[in-house]
Amino acid sequence: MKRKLVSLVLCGIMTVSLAACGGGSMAPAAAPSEAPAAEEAAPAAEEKADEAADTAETPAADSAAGSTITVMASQDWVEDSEQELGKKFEEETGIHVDYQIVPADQYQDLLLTRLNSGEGPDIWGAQSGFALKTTYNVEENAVDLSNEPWMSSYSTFSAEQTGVDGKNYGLTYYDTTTDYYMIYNKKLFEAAGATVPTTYAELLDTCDKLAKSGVTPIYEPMADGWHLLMMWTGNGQVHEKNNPGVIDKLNRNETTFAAEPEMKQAIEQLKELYDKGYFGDNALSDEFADAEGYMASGEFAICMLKPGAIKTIVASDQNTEGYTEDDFGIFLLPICDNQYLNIHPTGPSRFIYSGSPNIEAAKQYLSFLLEKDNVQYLIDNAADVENIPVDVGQTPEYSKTTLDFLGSYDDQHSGMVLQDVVLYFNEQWMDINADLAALFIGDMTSDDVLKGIDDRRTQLAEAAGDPNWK
Amino acid sequence: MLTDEGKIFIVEGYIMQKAKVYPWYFVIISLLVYTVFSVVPGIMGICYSFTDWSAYSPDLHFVGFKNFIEVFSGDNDYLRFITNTLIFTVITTILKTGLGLLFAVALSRNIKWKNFHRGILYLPSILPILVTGLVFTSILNPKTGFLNNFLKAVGLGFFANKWLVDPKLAFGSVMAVDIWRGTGYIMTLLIAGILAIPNIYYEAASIDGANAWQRFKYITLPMLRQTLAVTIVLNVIYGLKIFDMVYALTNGGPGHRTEVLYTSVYKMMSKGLYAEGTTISSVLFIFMVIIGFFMVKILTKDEVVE
Repeated sequence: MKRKLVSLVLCGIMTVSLAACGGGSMAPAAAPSEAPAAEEAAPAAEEKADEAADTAETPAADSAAGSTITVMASQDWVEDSEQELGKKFEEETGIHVDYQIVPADQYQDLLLTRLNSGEGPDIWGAQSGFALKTTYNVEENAVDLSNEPWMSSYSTFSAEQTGVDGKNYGLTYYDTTTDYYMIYNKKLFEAAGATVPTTYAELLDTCDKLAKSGVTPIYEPMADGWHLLMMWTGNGQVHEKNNPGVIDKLNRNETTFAAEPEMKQAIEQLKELYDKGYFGDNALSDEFADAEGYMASGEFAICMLKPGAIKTIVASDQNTEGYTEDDFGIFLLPICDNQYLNIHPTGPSRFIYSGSPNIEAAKQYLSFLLEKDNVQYLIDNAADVENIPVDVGQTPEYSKTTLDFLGSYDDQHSGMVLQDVVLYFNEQWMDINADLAALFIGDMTSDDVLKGIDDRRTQLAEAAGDPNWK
Repeated sequence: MLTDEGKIFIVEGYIMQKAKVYPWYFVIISLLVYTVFSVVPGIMGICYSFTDWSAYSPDLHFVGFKNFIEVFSGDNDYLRFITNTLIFTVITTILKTGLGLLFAVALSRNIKWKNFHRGILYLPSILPILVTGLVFTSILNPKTGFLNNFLKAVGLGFFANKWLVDPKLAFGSVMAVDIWRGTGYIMTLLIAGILAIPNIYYEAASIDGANAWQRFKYITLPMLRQTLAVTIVLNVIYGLKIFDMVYALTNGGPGHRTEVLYTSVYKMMSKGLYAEGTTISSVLFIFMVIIGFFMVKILTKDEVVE
């Protein structure tokens, strides 16, 4: 009996040990006596990278031929056109590019697990912005790209978002020149007698009319676990406009999300839209990848998408109604009556893993992507990409609808999205989305959701040693 | 025939058996390897749960029971994750064992295509859990999934449901897929146990007029006790550690409705909040020891101790 108990205890210990080993190489670094070693790790990685850079354009670059680099990214971050460019890159250099595309709801956990266990892919994708330092520990996990030749053509605005302490670690390879706005079907609006809403009350009225006409008002793909929150944060600039200084107060820990009534109003309005059935019956299992198809089918009237998606909707196989680009328009989602244009310079970016044995080949790949012809190829062939934040002489493909829409908002009527200005927010993106889903199904209240955001901000700030949280 | 001489023989035999037991120092190397690679990291893991170990700071501070208080404070979802894990363990263990026993009894008899049936039932067990999860994500999709489309096609559309996203059904769906996958394995173990029961008992019982139920109740079940003990312990340990099936099917959703302890450990670890992750893991360890202790005690209460 005792022997059995001892075996059981040992089995249990083994289980705990597996979890303990999950931190991988971080374990020794966390010990106080070895703290300096951890601090030295980043420069060491940089030295390695610099050494590799010194040998660029030399036989070292040629020796990369025949090797394989892995590019790990979330679903929808790698366009088909990029994969075509990857083939061209292989033809030119002999370096094979292995794209590892991970479902969006699993991506961040998987990436961080790999980075934290010292087994990162050669090139990894992540959202740029504050979280690079706190969540991704970019100074240790990525190679300094400040001296890459393409830096002179890279948007300064984007470089600020992929950089930390004056060094640039990434390349935003995504159309961040526009953000997600509400794309709507003009024909369905017309048939329902609905108008473009500018206040929340008008939005309810519009959705009501659309629903009564037999159309599902809004396609909201919640299954991916990242899209829904944009419907709040994309309109988050309204909080600063209505309550000047609130963002600074949040970042100085002088207020909380739970203490701001307008935050609660925003998420309760989203819940109201869900409860009224305006997101349809299957929002919890709807996927972002299907958004353009469903918009093309005429089954849904509105979806939060990039303006470039209009081209994809029109080109979709499901466009049996013969829609043209002129049949679609753009408006701002008036959560909390927001009418300020959302600006979002951060976006999916590429980083080279500091522990990669293929740093030089990975740098070659990024440089290749930014050659003028290749940038143009991406813009011309990726339907929802109108431009990317580099200037290599390419010709952007903004539609007239996009230009008219963006042109109707001046600087006074635009602002940054919430996740780009509030600290310790973007890091919990997937958690907040899960909490919002829990709110919708009645497992949480709006107060619980806001308290959850505050608690996680505290947890992250304390872990980062932020003096404002001491 | 028992004689004094015979008894001496048995005693001698016993002594001979005892003499064949290998000396304790034979296990030193394996014990050492096990200690270094399993026990020590395990104890370290428990120790880390008393610190603020994270990816955000190289400093490590002792925080006492702070992490454990957080887990049991009720301010967050941890208690729900613990409850979900326990519910999953209890329900899947009962149903897998029950169904496994039912199939094992049925397929121990001489029925037509016996091995074919056994193979079909065992097949799901050899599929990787993640593959099973991904396949069922597609099958159970409310709009495009095979199950709902099939139900609609045969006129049973009213049974069509949002299997993985309806808060009332999601956890049940996850458990159903896991039971579908695991029953065949339990059945196989129990078939082996049933076939090891000497046929002579059944023949004797039949001669005495025992019916099928009586033969099952008074012969099969008592003689299967050891095998059942093994399968139940395996199921309970598997249930407490469940991760991949939930991860692949719902990733804890909708909301946090199907979140279990190990999916939350994974999320904590991936966020770099290592101390919180190891704390939940340590809590699970305590559960496993407590539950395991009582289970082994109950299931082996009639076992002869040397």
